Amino acid sequence: MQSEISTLYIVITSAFFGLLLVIFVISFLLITQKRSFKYIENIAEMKKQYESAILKSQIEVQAQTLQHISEEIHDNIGQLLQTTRLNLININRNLSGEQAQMINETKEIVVDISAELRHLSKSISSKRLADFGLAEAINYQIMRINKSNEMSAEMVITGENKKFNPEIELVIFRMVQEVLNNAIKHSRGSEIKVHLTFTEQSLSIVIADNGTGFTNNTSDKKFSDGSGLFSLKEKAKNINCDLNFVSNSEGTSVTITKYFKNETY
Amino acid sequence: MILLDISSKLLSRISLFSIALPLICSLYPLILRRFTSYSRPFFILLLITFIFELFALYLNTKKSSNLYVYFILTYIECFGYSYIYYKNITNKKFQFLIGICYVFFLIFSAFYIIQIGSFNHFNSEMRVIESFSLIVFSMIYLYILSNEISKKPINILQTPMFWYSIGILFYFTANFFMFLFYNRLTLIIPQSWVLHSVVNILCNCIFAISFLCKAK
Repeated sequence: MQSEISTLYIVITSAFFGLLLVIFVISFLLITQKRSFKYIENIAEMKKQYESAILKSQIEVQAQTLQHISEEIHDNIGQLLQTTRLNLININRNLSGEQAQMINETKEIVVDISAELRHLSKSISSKRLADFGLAEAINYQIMRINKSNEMSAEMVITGENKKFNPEIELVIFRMVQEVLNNAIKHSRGSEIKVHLTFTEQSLSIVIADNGTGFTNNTSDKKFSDGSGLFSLKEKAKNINCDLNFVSNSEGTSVTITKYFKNETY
Repeated sequence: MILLDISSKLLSRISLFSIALPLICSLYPLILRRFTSYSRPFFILLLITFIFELFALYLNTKKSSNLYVYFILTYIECFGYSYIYYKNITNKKFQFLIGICYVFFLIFSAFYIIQIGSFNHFNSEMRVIESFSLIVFSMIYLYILSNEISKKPINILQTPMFWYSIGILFYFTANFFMFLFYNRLTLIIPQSWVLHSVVNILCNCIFAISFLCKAK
């Protein structure tokens, strides 16, 4: 009987040991899982930071290059065209009849080229953005579209116009430029509407056209054409903003929303 | 002593019918039509086990020996549990080990039956071999799982095979010595089987959780 009681103790102890073993295994695996999740989270965070740094340097290089081209157009080519115009005026003084008429026309063309280059210079430069803010920079783009007569564009601003982080502002501005260019090139529509909404916590930009729309299909030229949409998505991801596309036969609407919860305005 | 006897019998009955819990839970993937290489064979195994247990109970109430039912059930259970591991592990070495262990179990049990020549006592040694094999399988599976979760994010609490292995590990570790000493122990202290009943109820609860996981 004594030996059976000892055996029973062994059996009970083994059952208890089984329970402990299971608790140990579950705890061990849960701790490993937690560590794994943390490690993967860290890797993702590092990757995001790295991509953000790459994008930042890309934007800086792009901004510097565009600024340089803009200054060259304004200071060098602009001056050369001005000299050409003055020369044409001088030549025209000694001419008459058909030749004078031709020189006059050429002068007008030079004036047009000069004006176009001035607009282009302002458009590619981020100086306007830095000086007057996002709304004014987008408004300038709208004016250019209207002037080109390719489409009619209008902009509505809701809320108090604000200036915020220049790097984020520049990325959003480039995104808006990209969307507007896509609308002009591919939408086959006649109107573009841009709606900027400033609130305390967010900035939302809705760019809508009345074109034919596109399908979410890689065979669609607007999707597969270059890296436009990919680049938009990458930019949105890197500045941590929402990017939404709605497209149907009545047109395309792109919404860019940036929340400023924990970021400086 | 009478109270212990009554509670032992009651727990024994609850233990027998506790298998209905994972069986009911197995209807969840059935309704969602999400039967996998895990849930389908395990559902069949539980159903067979339940039928055998009911048959054994019927024989018991008729005062007939039901030990041969448990002999057959041990074969089926060992095959079923091993097969689930075999189907859910892609590691070839582990699959080979499962095959070897099952063949060894078959050879051992054949010799065992020839040696004892009858089914009139509990198949203690067969259950010990089965327990040992399945403890090893569950440990290996959990080791593989721990390696996997350190490489990619897997929510183990939503992994059916995790709960299955925990159930197997718990049941066979807790009952290992019970199986080993059963014939010796229950002659003097028949209520000792209550321990198995408690472990079996808990194990069935764990198996039930495995069916409620979002199988991938």
